[in-house]
Amino acid sequence: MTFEEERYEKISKIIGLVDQSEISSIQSVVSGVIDVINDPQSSAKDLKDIIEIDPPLTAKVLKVANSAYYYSLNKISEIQHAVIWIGFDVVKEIALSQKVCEVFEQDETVSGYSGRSLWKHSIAVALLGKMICRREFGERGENAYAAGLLHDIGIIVENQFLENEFIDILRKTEQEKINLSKAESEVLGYTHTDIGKMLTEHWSFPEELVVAIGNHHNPDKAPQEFSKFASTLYIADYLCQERGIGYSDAPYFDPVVFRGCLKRLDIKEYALDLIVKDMEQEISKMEGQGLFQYDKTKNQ
Amino acid sequence: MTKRKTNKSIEELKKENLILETKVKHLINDLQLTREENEISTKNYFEIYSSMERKVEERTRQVEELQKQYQQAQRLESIGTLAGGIAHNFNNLLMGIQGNASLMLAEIHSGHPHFEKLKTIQKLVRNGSRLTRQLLGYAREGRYEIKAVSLNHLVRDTSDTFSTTRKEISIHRELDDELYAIEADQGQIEQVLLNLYVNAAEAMPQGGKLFLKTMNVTHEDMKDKCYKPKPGNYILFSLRDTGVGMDRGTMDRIFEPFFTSRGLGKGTGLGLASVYGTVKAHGGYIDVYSEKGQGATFKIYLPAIGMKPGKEKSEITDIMKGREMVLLVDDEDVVADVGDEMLKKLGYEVLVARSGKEAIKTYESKWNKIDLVILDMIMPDMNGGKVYDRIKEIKPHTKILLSSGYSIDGQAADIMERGCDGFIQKPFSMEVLSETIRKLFEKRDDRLS
Repeated sequence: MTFEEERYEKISKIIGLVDQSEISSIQSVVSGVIDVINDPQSSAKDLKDIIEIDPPLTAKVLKVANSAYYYSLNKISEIQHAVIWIGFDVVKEIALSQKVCEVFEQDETVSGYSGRSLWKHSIAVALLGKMICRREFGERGENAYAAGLLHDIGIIVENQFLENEFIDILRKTEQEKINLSKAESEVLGYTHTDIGKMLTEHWSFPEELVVAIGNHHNPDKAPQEFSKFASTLYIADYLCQERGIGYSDAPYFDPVVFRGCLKRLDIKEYALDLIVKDMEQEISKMEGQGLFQYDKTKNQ
Repeated sequence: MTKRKTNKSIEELKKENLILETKVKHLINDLQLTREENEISTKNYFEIYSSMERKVEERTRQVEELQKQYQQAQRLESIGTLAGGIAHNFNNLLMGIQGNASLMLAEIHSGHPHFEKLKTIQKLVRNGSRLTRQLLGYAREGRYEIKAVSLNHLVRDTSDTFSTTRKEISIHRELDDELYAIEADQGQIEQVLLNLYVNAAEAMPQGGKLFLKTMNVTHEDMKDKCYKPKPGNYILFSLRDTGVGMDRGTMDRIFEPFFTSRGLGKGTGLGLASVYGTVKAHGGYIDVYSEKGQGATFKIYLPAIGMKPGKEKSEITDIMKGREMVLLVDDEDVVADVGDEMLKKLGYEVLVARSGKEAIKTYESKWNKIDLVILDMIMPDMNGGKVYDRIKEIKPHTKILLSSGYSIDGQAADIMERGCDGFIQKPFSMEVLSETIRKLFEKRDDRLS
């Protein structure tokens, strides 16, 4: 068995475990919303049907929709009303983030990592990725948002199914002052990007998302057609770590790859500064509204 | 100094300019996207708006339909009140005719030249009384003799009788052996069944098939109806004919009294009206489904009870006399006079009171001698219910027989429930009167022995 095959076997086994766990419970809703995002023919009713099949999610979406963050003047009591008052795209985002965050609920901090800090990082990457797409490319950036939320899902899987190894990996990053991916490769023989790639592939996500998630540490290796998207995700991930927003899995930056991405996308650093500033404002506003208190609302 | 400042400013300005340009680009992109999103939102808004509008239209239609049904029910109700009032007065007249005929018959032999004519008068009064009974049935009054009955039994009996009179109609029965009993007035339910058969037969002048079916259902099975049934078990009796059927307009009015689609003089227009009244009085529901030329189906739902139907005793129709003292209370002179004479003929000692107050006065002075009170329900000064209560206060075990042709708000039924001994429907013949009284006294004897 070659090294590649062995790695594939190992990850497949883990994905088999994921299939029977709570993590897989987010698949149908998340896939559903991503389908709505990628199908221009889909309507608000499709989205409503996807959300309303999941009553706890519906409640969470309505709660967020009614928060001061979205300035809704009317009391929103139905997904349909939410679509009217705060917008189709916004409801898609809320549904996606509220569903994905269900698997990030682990509050114990080990070597700087906690489910909560990773969630904050993921939200920030999602928001920044979307904003870059919108402002720089004039694109809607909904897939960038989804990719941001899910790019580190491999870490969640490790945390849950390779608990001991994961603690070793975290200790290793701390002691040897290396990035998470390096420690993962040494301990496991693969990284969370490999898991994320195979899992999202297994869940039949659009190829663009699978590639970006699988290559969010090495966008240069992404196939040409997805290069722009993967680079955008890399930039968003890089900047959030640089600014210390939430958990950082790669505190030892590689500016060479980053500059390569900037060049590929023809984005100036000062333009990114402007976007990041706005993103940081949004994040602190969300924090002010208690929108990261997912673990508390879940236990209530 | 100035030059340096200027140089720096130019550099700074260039940088600022770049940033401003970027900002403008960002804003333009954002604005463009927001505009697109707005368009989508507007589209969604109109989609949702129009779907809501459809919902509103649908609800409005439902409300209108309910309003129509409500008006229909109200109209039936007011006609019912009118019909009940007519029946009341008519019954008193019939009572007078019946009584006088009975008295004359008692005084002559069967060979008398007027004997047959008097018998005919009695027969006509009975026919007239059947008519008023149907009117009362429609007015939802006169539901007095309630007991557990088996509907299957009634359906079998009545349909057997009916089939002998209409040989051109074949009857198919599908009766549920496990059918629940119902709490009902047997006579009235029989009347309901017969009226439905007659109606079906009239719809099939050339003959046809009549399908009778009984089954157990619950309120859950009646979900799609326009009315909301009380929760519980019901029995369903359905009757389907292969007759001419009817259109929507006829179906809407079919339960109205005096409404008939069969041409003047052919039907009384009371049959189905009384069916409707009786079913309502028994806490049931009735539906009709039909299309022109497609036959008609009537469905009757009656509340089920959890007990087995009891057995009926056979009846004796001989005149039985007695010597007890009877206080007859009725504000109608015709009824009072005739009743007085009838009772005397039967051998009873009679006291007559022509009002509630008079009745109380008489009873207070002679309570230890009076064996039975025959009490009218409706009296202008003091109604039967109050008189009843007062008499029971004086002597709780007094025998009281209610007599009425009509009652308001089920007063008679109410008193019967409070433990009244019997009920007699006006107009009554001497035979019925004697039998009812004797039964009442026998009941006392049972209790004593």
